[in-house]
Amino acid sequence: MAANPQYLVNQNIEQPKARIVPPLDRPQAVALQEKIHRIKVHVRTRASRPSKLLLGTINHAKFRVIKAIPINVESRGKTVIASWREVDEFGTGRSTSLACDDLGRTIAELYVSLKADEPRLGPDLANVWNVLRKYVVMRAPHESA
Amino acid sequence: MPRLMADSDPIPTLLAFIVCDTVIQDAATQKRTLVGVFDRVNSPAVPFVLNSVGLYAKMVEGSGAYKLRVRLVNLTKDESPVLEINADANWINADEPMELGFNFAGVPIIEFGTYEFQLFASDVYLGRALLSVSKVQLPPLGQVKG
Repeated sequence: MAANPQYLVNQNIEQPKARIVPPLDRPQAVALQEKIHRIKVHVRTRASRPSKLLLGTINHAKFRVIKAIPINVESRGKTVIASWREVDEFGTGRSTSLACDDLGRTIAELYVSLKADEPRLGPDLANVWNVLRKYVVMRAPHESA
Repeated sequence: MPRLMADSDPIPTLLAFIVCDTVIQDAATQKRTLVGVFDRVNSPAVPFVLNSVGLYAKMVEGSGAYKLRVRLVNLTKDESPVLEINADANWINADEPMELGFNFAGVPIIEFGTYEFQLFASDVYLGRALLSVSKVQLPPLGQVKG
């Protein structure tokens, strides 16, 4: 079985080149008998969940990510953990995306809290606040995406 | 060869990422029509193929060259990829949004569960659209009343 984009609707970018996982030169499916009772499909996955991810959104309309946030992804049982080590925050979920959503909520709350306490921050939290401001900005009320 | 997104290039904001049967672009007006928007597929058995899947994305706040990547991953099974395509995009006018339309034929679905289309711009994750594949029990032959 193969998936191929038939055409790209857009006119202003190049035609996408399909890359099948697994590659086409490897067995996609094997039918063992002429009279087929059962089809056995072998799909070899090239890679599963990534261990690192660059996050370009924190899924919050009031914030914009201005620099991609480097995230480490690990799983424990059925729980995925997305962590941003530079600010020592993490989020959890049943998938990488849900863990990133959770992390995004944490980042938004942290941003609001540190911004409110900015004049009174100690050196550690001031450092976190400086890092946070390099990656995330709050949108003006009229420009919420 | 487009330049890869640099640190100074803005990260686009994904406004919409929608799964449908087909994305049609009108040649005269350039307007896009999404036919058959869905997020759930029912099937009596696996494996099967989805013969027509369209993906529509609308992004804003971008500028410059991006390597766009769309992945379909199986969330039920360790997020293993089912397909992946890449496209080079050049975002010329930063004030205008960028719209993308992809149409796929023969997307392999090997098991029931939840799948996710993920969109990346130069390896930066922008967002996703979920697709749920459920088992449906068909009535035995002869019991269907028309």
